[in-house]
Amino acid sequence: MEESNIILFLGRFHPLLVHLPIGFLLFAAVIEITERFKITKGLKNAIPFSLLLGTLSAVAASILGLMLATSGDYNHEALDNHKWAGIATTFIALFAYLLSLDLSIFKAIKQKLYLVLVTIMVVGLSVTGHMGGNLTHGEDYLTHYMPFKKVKDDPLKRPEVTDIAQAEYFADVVHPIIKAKCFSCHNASKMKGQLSFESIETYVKGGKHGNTIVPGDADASEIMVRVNLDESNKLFMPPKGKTPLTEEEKGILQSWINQAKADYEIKVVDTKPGDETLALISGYLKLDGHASGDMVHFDEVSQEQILAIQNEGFTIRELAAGSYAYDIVLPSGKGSKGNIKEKLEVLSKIQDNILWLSLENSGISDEELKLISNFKNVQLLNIPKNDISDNGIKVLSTLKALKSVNLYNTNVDYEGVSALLALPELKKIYVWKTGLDQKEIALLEEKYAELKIISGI
Amino acid sequence: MCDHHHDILRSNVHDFKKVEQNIDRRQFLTKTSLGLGALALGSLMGTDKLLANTPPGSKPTGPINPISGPQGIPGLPHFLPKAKRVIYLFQSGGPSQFETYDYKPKLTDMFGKELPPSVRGNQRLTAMSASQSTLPIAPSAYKFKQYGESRAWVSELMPHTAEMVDDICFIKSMYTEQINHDPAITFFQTGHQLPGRPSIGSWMSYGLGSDNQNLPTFITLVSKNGGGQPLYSRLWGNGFLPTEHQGVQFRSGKDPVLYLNNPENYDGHDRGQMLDYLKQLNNIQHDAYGDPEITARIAQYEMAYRMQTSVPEVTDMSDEPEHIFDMYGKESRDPGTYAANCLMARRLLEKGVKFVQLYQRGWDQHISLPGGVKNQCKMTDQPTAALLKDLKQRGMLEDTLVIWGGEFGRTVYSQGKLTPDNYGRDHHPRCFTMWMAGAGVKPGFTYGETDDFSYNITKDPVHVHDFHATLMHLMGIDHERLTYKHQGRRFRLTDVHGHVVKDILS
Repeated sequence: MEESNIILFLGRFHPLLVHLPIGFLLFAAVIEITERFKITKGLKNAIPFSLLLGTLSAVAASILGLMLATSGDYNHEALDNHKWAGIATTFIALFAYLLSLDLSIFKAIKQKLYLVLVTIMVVGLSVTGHMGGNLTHGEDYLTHYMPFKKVKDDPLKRPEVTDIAQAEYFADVVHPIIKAKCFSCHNASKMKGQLSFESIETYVKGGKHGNTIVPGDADASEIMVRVNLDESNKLFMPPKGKTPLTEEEKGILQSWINQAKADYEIKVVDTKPGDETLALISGYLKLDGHASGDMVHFDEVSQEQILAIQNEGFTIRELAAGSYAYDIVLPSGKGSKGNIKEKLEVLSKIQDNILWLSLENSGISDEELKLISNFKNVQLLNIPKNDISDNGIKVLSTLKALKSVNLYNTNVDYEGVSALLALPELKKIYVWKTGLDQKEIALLEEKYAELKIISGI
Repeated sequence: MCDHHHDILRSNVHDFKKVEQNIDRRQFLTKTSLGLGALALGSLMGTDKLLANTPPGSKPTGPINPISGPQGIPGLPHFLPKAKRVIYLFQSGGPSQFETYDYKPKLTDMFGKELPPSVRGNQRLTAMSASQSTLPIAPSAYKFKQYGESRAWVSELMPHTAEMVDDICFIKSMYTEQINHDPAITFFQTGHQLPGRPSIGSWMSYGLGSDNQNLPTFITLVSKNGGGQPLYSRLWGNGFLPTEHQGVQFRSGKDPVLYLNNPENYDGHDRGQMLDYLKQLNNIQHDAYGDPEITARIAQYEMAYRMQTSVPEVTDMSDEPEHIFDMYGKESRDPGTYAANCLMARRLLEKGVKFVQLYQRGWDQHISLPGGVKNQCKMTDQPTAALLKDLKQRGMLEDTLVIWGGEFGRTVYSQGKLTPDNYGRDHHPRCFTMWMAGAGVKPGFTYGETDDFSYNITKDPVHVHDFHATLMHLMGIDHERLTYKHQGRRFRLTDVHGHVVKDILS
């Protein structure tokens, strides 16, 4: 259990008590108006009493407020403003009360000053109350749901990341951390220490020491030095009263500066992050982390493109969420000599995104293989039961990523298969019901020990 | 309504997103407390616009493949999969590891000797052999030989599978927590010994969705002529997942899927029209209640309609050539046999079915094991090997994972009287052999070891949860992250356990 603290215990009654002076003092001001305009009659006598109660409760509220301030939980600057505004309002209320008493010593100044004081008091009340509200609920509490609010554009703001494969290191990860923890003091309008995190240029420029971020060297970067200091140190950032960076956030900043060389354009995955960094980042983005090593990502494919491909009869499946890497299947028999070229042309719009491709019994001929030879990222190619021959197969030697090719039940032969053998990643060739016989297979396998050529069993 | 009431439904479960959005509207109306005014405002501004913002904390959905059939959930696969399809040859009853794959030569000299208590440790026995006065060691009645380049030991009962050992990854060190059939099979198929959880195939269907439009994602084949322990539909059930993810059972005989044919004297020409109208009615119901099961029902009707053509097509084996039937054995011509089902499984996989769960019963040899096991092997060895060969020569082993195994192993000691050519074996959960082949697993590889009695694991134990975790990994799923919220908590196939067995991954 936390130890008790009588000062803070009483201090927390401040938000409760402040409503008393607001009520009493406003009540006095309202009567002042209604009496003058003859809306009410005979309430004038209540004004001094109301002002007295208001003043006394304002004094009490101020004292409790000062107690609450000892917690150090509040933004220093905003707290200061609120404090002095509150104290000033209390004094004004006191003075207004004294004037309202019709004491002889104030006779000379009363007429001129009284109304002015009451007006200032109401303004002071509103301003103090508003500042207090901002302190408790946050600055945008009041206006958050305001209709027709003009949204301030953050030039660095990006749509929410849904997949780590697409996450940009700086814009999606680093900047949001800075924005949450540092931006309130280091922006274009505040620029403490001449440092602003408003744009990439100001990031690069750094603060008055210049070396805010040193690419590749987190230890030399002022930002990392400051956030890693002991919390009691005067130079520790963010300063007392603000939320410090979490260990995770520090870790992310550090790896961005060191591993990503503080690159502002790079994607997270392109920095080849280790498991640990990846876990940090996906944790921060509230994404379910990804197993590293199995990550790929390609250029974005639009929903319209996917629909267009599906309309041609292809089954399209994203191999890993957010990767834009696809497994494409044309169900056996859906394609024919007449229409396959058209279908493949639609498919070729996303040719770099295709990792697995299956075109069994689809009507492709040597001609269409030329189109396929541009699908440079294909790893598994299934083209069995098609009228294709050695001439067609030879053009596939451009498919450097190819790991496995299925040529079962085609017209390919020794010569065509030989043309593929030099492909660096190729591990398996399926040649059942083709021109190759066991002797030729043995010959080829002897030459390429890494390669398995699989025929009928 | 109290806020708490709404909180319960806040979840990451994809299927509840729509329900939640409905609730958002309700909350909006309630909380504005403006009654009709708010309603009018709501309709003026357009509900879609008001609801366009996803609720805070929920992630916007990623690109979805709009194909008919179950769609899988956003965010999956978690990473690049190795396998695209799975065929799980479940050997129900608990095949003896001694007469199949776990070669224990030292037992020959120990024939009839008492199982040392130090080996048995604190292992509980079933009521069937707990009362036995002795636990005599029973060596295998069958001989073993080494095969292939991998030099794997296989018994003489499995000559065909023996030819394929260089494509197989044996796990000799499987273990489970259950000692009786029902809980053990339920554990293996659903990740929990108590009924009610979704089966492996249902999880796959739920997580990854369908690859084809005309057949279910998850199909179950139960072989006839098995005998022995019964199987129950909950083993391929959807548990608490939406109903469209349950396994669809294909039966033996001329009517593989019940009630799929049109009734007598009805030609079915207006069936499509009828279903369209029914869909409209169901949609009205769905608008009123928002129950995801209604969506599931619509999907089921449509799938059944498409299956009226696709099922007869896939189950008609007349287009298979002679040599294929010969390869699977002569029983493959008899629909419903294990052999015919293996062939059927290949045809289903070819059509893009993601998960085929095949069951062979009859491995529960408490007595007369030598004869019983021989018979079972005879029934299954050739078709199993043929399936491997057939998939391989068609290039399908590249992205298909084949799994062979039962729910537990059998004891080294004889249940009942031990004679040189006759004995029985009781259930044994502490170690048994399984194998996998194909996509993503090391070919010609053996993982894990058991002691000389195949009673305890001496190296690299693999728990049922580990097996599930590995299977999901091969399909591109992180088993810790495929969850479904039900009755107030999130569930996984692997509960809170399971480690991917990285050493068997290729």
